[in-house]
Amino acid sequence: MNCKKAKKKIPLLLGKELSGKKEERLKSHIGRCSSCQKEFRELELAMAKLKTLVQEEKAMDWDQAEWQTLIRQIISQKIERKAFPLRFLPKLAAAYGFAFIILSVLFVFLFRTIIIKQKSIAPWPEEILVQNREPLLTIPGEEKEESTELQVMAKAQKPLISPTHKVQAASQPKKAESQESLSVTFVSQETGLRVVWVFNKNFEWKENEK
Amino acid sequence: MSEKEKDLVEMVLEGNLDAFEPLVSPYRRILLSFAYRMSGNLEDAKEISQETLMRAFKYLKRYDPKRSFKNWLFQILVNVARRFSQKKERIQNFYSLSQTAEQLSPQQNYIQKQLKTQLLECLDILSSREREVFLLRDIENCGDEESAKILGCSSISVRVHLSAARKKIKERIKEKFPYLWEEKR
Repeated sequence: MNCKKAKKKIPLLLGKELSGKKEERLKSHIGRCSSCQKEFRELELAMAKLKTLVQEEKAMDWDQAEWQTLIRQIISQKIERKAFPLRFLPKLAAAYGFAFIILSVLFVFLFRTIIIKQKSIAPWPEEILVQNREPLLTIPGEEKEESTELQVMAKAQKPLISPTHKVQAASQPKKAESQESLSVTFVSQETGLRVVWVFNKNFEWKENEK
Repeated sequence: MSEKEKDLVEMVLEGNLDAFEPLVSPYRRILLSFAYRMSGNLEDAKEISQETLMRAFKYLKRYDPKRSFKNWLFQILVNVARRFSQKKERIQNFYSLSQTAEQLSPQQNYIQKQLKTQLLECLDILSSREREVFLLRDIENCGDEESAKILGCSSISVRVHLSAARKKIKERIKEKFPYLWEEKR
């Protein structure tokens, strides 16, 4: 440690404000350096003198009557109840606003995939929905409940096709009673182009365009 | 905080207002002296102490019993003294054209000097922040952390100001009491 650094730290040695290591280093420097030693002694002397000045100073005190009046005056004022301090309101409002914005951004960020998915699933064209109300792939002699089950399955499969190809498909029996043929209609959301595939009993198909 | 003080605070908060006097009475001298050393004027010191006690009473509900009551009072006092000096400066600036220190009569000047104690003359050299730190640390013997809390600054800032204050005080005492050094030699 050099004298410049030591002289900066000497005032802190008096009140033991320095950490153990720093204090030791400074003390060892003061032990070796006469100029720093002098500085330290002078400071010690000055502080000792100041403390005697504090003790010599006439103790300040209130006049008893004055003190009693003051206390009476203080007691007569209203003590603060747990009222909400109005001066904090603007700060609180700002904090709440900020928190609300952050939470909304987080909410949008977390649920955006769900929102986007829901948007991309377009509603089925009414015509197809009407057609789907009819039993799908009904085989004569079978009960109606099974056909509705199939209908549900068909509906569940539809969204898997539509978001990727932008084409919605629906299977529709032309003549459900006889099952002579089976048609599948593809409707493009963008162009409105409708493609109908009609299969016969042997699954040989022909294509119609509307 | 002592048990007695705790009880007194609770009594005041419960509505027994007479308990306030014994609560603050032990600190009346300390507060007045501290305010006097801060402001350098007895009238101002009384005003500052009065405002401090008023605030202490008003905001007693906010007092944290884990802290020392004395230090809490000091914290209020420091804030009041700061505001007071700002207000005073503004007023002095306002009246500076009409009345300056030089315009005081020699008699007034003499009275003012007589009123000032030697201690105050030594403290005069310090800036307001240095004076606050010095009074708390070296006169009132508050700890580093507690002083920082009272003054609303970091303990590093306390140390920096304290170091500067001690150096200045040393120079002032050397200048005012040169015989001390002569005796030493």
